Amino acid sequence: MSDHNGAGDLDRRTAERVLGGADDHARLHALLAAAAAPARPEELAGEDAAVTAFKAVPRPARTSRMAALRRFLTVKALVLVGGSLILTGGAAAYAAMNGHIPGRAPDPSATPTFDQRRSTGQHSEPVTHVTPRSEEPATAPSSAPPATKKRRSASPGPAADPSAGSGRENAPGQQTPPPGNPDPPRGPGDDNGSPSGENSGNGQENGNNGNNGSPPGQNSGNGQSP
Amino acid sequence: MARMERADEERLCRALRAAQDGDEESFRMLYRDVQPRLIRFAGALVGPDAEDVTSEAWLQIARDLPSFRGDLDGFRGWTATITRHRALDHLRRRSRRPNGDVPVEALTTMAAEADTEVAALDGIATRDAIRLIAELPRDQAEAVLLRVVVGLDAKTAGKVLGKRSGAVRTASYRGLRRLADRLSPAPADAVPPARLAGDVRPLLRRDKNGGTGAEGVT
Repeated sequence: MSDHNGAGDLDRRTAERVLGGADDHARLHALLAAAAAPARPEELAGEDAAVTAFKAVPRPARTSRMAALRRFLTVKALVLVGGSLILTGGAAAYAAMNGHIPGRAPDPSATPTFDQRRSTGQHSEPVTHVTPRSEEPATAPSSAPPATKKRRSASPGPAADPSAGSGRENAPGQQTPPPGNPDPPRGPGDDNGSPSGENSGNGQENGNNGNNGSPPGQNSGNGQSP
Repeated sequence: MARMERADEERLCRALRAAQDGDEESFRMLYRDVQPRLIRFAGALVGPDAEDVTSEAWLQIARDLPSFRGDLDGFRGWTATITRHRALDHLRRRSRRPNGDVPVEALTTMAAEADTEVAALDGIATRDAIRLIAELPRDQAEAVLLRVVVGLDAKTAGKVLGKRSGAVRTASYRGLRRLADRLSPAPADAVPPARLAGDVRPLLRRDKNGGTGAEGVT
């Protein structure tokens, strides 16, 4: 078209600079600056419509993040529950080593233990039951309480974490389903109490099977310690 | 607009993250930054239908924003890509040729005439500038608009266009040469500034090279 020297003298380097905002070429610079001028109001006329669309859109990424967080919490809760189980087992093993929960005679002991528990409803009772039966060893009452304390400390652990996860629960709070997740850990936690109670039941059984105490105790220790 | 201050860029970066988490004000901030770029870019492709095209684009942007990964420049490139696709869809629907500068020129001229009454003085200047750029062959117009108006570097613009960054540089260079041609009423005006950075090569590659000769250069 036009054979003006002005255009012909525009080399690539100058062109790049002009594209970057330099005014090496006054006319081009003015043109590009006008093209990139601040927004005019009519250009933003669709803002409210865009915002409406923005608000109407569900946030998959956000929920996925929450889901990931939930998954993480669930895993953590499971780990804590598992840890509490191990701790409980350890406590039982410890008690067994002290001789309070030595042996087991599963069949006979089962019924009495449950009755006792339900009457008390808490770990504390097994202790009380243990003490009367373990009248013979004076150490029995003293050693038994620590075991229960350990159990309690262990069980609160998981409970505390879910509660600590309250910050997370806020997020899950948005989702009604998730509460199911936190619950299971707690449920198990409570159950842990009962299994531990079984241990205590064993202890009581031990009381019944007094003589068997030591050999079964080893068995229980083996089973739970790993 | 293309050269915003660093603080503004950082603020927009934060707005991008917040908008991805659903913050409405941050989304508005992004919209006000990006929409003028998009509508000017779209205007060069579809003329008076640019607003419809960008509206469609924003539906998709709003929908996919939470899953977007990247920084602010990436976001601008992403929105430009979406807008470009919507514009090309629009052209197909309307049975308009997506290629060729003549229809684009005609359409942008229509757009300019349609909005003349509303426009402020600076607005007219902007519209004229966009129209002039839109008169370039489409690859050149797109390259120049993506780099100058949308504010992308050659690499990001290449992603939008599906080209290598070198091809984008070449196209934008040719576009600028054509624009300089049209802008210079008298040769004497443009020569002095160009010669400041000039070397021998420009002389070998004058006007007609705008079409082909410059391609040999990376």
